[in-house]
Amino acid sequence: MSAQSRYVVGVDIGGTFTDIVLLDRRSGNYVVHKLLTSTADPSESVLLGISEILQSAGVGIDQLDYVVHGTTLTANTIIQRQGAAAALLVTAGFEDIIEMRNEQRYDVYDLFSEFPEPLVPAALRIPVEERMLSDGQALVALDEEKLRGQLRPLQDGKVQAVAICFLHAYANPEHEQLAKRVVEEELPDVAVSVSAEIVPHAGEYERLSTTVANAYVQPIMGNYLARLEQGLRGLGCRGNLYLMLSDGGMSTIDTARQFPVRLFESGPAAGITATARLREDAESRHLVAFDMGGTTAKICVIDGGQPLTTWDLEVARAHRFRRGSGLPLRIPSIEMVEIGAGGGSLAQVNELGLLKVGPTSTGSTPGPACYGRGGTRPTVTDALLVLGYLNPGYFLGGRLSLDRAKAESAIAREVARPLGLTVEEAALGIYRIACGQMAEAMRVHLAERGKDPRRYSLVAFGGAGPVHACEVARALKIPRVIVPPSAGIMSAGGLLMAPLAFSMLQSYPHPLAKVDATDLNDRFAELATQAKQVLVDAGVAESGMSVEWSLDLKYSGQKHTIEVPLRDQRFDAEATTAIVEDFERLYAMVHGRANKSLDIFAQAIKVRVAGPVADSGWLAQRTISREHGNAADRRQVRFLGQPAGISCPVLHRADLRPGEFEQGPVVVEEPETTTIVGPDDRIGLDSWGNLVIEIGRGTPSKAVGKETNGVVAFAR
Amino acid sequence: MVLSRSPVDDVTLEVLWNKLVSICDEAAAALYRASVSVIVGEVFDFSVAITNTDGDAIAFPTKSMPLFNGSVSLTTREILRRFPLESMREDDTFICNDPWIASGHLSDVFLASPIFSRGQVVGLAVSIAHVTDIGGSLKRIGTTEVYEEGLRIPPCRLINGGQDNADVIDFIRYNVRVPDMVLNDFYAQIGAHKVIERRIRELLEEAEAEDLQSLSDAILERSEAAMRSAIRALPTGTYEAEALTDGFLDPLLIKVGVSTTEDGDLFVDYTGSSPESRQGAINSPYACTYSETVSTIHTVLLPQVPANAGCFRPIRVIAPEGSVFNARPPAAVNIRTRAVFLADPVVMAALAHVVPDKVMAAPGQAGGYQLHGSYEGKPFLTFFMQSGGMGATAKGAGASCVFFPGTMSTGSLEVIEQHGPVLIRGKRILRDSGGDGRFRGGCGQEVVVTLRPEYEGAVTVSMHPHMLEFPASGLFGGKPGEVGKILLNGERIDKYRLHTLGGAVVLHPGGELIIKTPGGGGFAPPEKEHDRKEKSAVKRAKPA
Repeated sequence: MSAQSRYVVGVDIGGTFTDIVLLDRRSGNYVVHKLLTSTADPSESVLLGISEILQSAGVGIDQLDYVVHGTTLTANTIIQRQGAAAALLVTAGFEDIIEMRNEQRYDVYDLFSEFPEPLVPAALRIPVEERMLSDGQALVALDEEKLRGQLRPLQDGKVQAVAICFLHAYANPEHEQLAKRVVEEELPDVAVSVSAEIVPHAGEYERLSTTVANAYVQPIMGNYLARLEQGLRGLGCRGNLYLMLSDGGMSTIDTARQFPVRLFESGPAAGITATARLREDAESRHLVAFDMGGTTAKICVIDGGQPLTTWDLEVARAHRFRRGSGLPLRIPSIEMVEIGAGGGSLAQVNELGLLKVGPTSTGSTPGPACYGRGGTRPTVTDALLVLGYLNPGYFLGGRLSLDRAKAESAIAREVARPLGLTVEEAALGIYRIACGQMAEAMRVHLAERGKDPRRYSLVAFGGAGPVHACEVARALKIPRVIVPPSAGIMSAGGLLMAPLAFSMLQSYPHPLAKVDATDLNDRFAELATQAKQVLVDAGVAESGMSVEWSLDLKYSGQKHTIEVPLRDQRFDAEATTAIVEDFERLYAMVHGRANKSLDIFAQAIKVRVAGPVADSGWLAQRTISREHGNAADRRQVRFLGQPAGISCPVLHRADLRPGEFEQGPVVVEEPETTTIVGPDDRIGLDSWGNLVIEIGRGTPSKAVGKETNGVVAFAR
Repeated sequence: MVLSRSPVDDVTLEVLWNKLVSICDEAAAALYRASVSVIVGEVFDFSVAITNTDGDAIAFPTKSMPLFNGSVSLTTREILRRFPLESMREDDTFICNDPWIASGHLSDVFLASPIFSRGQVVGLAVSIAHVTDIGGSLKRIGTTEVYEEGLRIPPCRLINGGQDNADVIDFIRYNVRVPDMVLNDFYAQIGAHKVIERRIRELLEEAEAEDLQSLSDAILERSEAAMRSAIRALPTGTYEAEALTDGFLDPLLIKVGVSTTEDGDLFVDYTGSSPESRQGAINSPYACTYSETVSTIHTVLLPQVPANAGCFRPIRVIAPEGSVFNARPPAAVNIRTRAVFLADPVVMAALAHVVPDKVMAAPGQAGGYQLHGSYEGKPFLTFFMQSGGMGATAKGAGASCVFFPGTMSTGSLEVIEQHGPVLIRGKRILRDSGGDGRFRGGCGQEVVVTLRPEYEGAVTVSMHPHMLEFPASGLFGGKPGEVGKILLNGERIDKYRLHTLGGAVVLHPGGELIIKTPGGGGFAPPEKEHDRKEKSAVKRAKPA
């Protein structure tokens, strides 16, 4: 990234639309462009969109420094099972592990559960004579000649990718490397994925699953990136193409080709990155991103600008909201929880006479009853309309008009009558249950990580997020809700805020007390060198890199680990004391108390190397203009905890002034979303254009300036 | 959200019920994450529950071990009988593993702690976890009296107002092989109880309620009503099934009669089944028989309602005293799953007469393995579990290699090899082991166990393989699955040999233990046969 570079582009491909942002890094001005995604070959819409946005902005393509791309290609390829024909080389005797999984049922009460098909069929799993022991000794040498013979039948060109995963390869990768060379000689045209390169960690099923998934998408991603790169060159672009990784870092095209599985959460990671880099007056250290759309809600915890990350992802679930029904991927990823509650979630009364909301959803067709597109069953959106939260004439900025009568009759028929409630009470019940489900999922997620909700601010976006945010926050005692101004382009914008970054993980199974400091420091340094090389190859100067080391620790015998950072990237006696303290503190936050009678065990080491972080202030919106209606608009709105509807002002973001609070109840209408502020809350605007809602602080006041206990920075 | 003494409204009930289940999920996660044993941390052989002040369970985690769901209430009631609410103090924890009070064998240790809110007990937080060791014989199935099976702990205080009851803890410490591991897992259970107490206090505060009474009443009454209506939807009558299954040497005869009444009562009667065995530890105390039976009925008739004591109220389980399903002290009960897990498909076969599309053919049940030895100067003791194939259903083939009716998970082979001398030389699906049928049974697996070549010791493998003799039956003309097989150094370990060995074999370096787990039963006749019999096959065929 050269210092004088001026224009950069972020491209986010969604299922329906491709969003493009062109940023002038010198002035901080940006332009947004939206076009339909060309589903057959998404690279077409990327190239077309870039040409169009440059043309309309009057910028030459040669002035483009780089393009950052967030793609759902890896995710879609795996979820829709449209990957390459891949073969698997595996230690002889263990060909079926990929199919046997962990042998556990994911739904205790369902005799009819379905389990995901493995990505490689039995016929393409090749048993390789070799065996490593857990300490890295070779017990059986790899039979190279036999392997060559086994590979020859694959030379017919049908197999496009090969995954190699041998037992204990994390402890000694020699056999995998030898097999890789043999495959490259015998099958020169296929892509090869090697387990110890992808995730050198003990746990054969998870490593197999990750390696196989990588092989499965590698040819598809390779072709796609080649077309994209060629296309950009054809347009005259001399800048680099970068890809968003699942953990919010970006990578070069070469890294993406080698480890395409790491792009699984590329799309969502961009939106979370934008949230993590959100500029707001209070400079909150602790955020919960809350993105609620048509079918699901997603949440992600962000501490000190860093989203929580995980190396344990589960994707492509046979049963969408049941953990254990999908494929495990050991890749670095932002950690998100997905809940089956969205605007399209169906409401129904079950055999217990209880109201259930979701996880079944109507999707966009036929959609909620109020869309008038043939849907007859009541949804969350229908409830929102009945409660007065949504404006039937200004949904999606007026692009879709909503039919209140249809919403009412659907709720009356399927919810109100069976429960003996009025339509409005039934709608309120649907809303309350949806909020309750999201709050519960959020509460458990925070609690399991030892986080206190009272220290967090909830950042709401997505079409349905800000409608529910205040009630969700109230249930969790989260004191503040922030609704950023650029909700519609959070993902594309986030692409332009990510640093080049690369994470590595390696098994290091040793009791902490027995760790040889020199050996551990060498291992860390070696891993860091590998990660740095990835960034050096991408043109990042080593002086501009930040390096983080951390250890995954547990008590001896436990399976679940806690990540503890090494503050000075050095392991010695002094560091050990700090590590033990940190571990015990983090452990006690989750489990109540540390257990000093047990030995601490180091499970794995982790390294993350990142390049310089780009500015993010440009995405804020300081000047806002009103697009419809006027500030005197009011409508009847029914709130939780109120006996009847109350007359409520309907404002636009432009009606709010920094430093002033409006007493709830308030509805704030915008083209992408509607924010609902309860009677006990109050809402203000900060200097970056964010809506800031203080939960339960709605004492009638027009406080200006210095708040001692709230949004301090309003005094700016 | 006001939760007074008056009945809870529908919406509040839904919100709070979800919350109770999610509290149990959070507590379950706290338990397995803090556990230092394979059997809890990786295999998930545990459960937690919230009970009301009568001892009735009102919520379990989403992934509760069904075997425990029914007995939790019985055990908690007995604890309350001996230690009335008024005698309980904050931060008390009670312990019991008596098979006739708790979960049927000594290894499942039951803990209960009162949930205090504003100075009064509003319910109990309870948990059951399988301990890695409870002392006693390593020949786990080869015992003939409970006294050989380890330490039997009567209901007593483990923690007294926050202070460890040192006498009880020392008794345990002196009687088990890996005391640190065992005691740590107790503390993991208590940590889970603390999570429940904290969250229940928050719930009551938010709901502006004094106690859980009206919420508990609503959950139990709704669930009971739903179960009754599910039972009333069945034609009244008696539906029978029987099967000869593996015992320990002599086979077990399992006879089941399921009767339904117009009032929505359902009786499961085991009368006519084998008497309790003197040959080995395959007997079930009544509470354990009850627990597995009501869970099976719940899974078949009302799977969409989260388990709680209300779901079980309409169900009565009858097992004559002295039978294998109602064994009397001091019968050996260590592997009581032999009786109750193998009874599970017989109960389903009886229900198949009336709900053929809601049941499953018999699953191939593998039993369990415990490895014991020493490694690098330390005792080495771990569980090693493999599954068989699921039974087929009216909707499709059975899945291969899935635990049933337990909800266990298999651990990582690489991790097992890191911590002991075991060297696994193969783990494969046995492709033709599922029973044939219109829908095939799931397949079992073959695992080859050896020891590291340089290892100089020996490893005792204590095993209780089910289905070595009698296979998992099919339903409606579906074929049975393959039986399980055990080979030690090439020699077939049949039931006679296993009996002689008391279920424990010794594996030496250079030796090889091959475990083949059974396949599941098929559903309906295989296609060829089916074509001849036309479409009426399902209706006419009798459950096997």
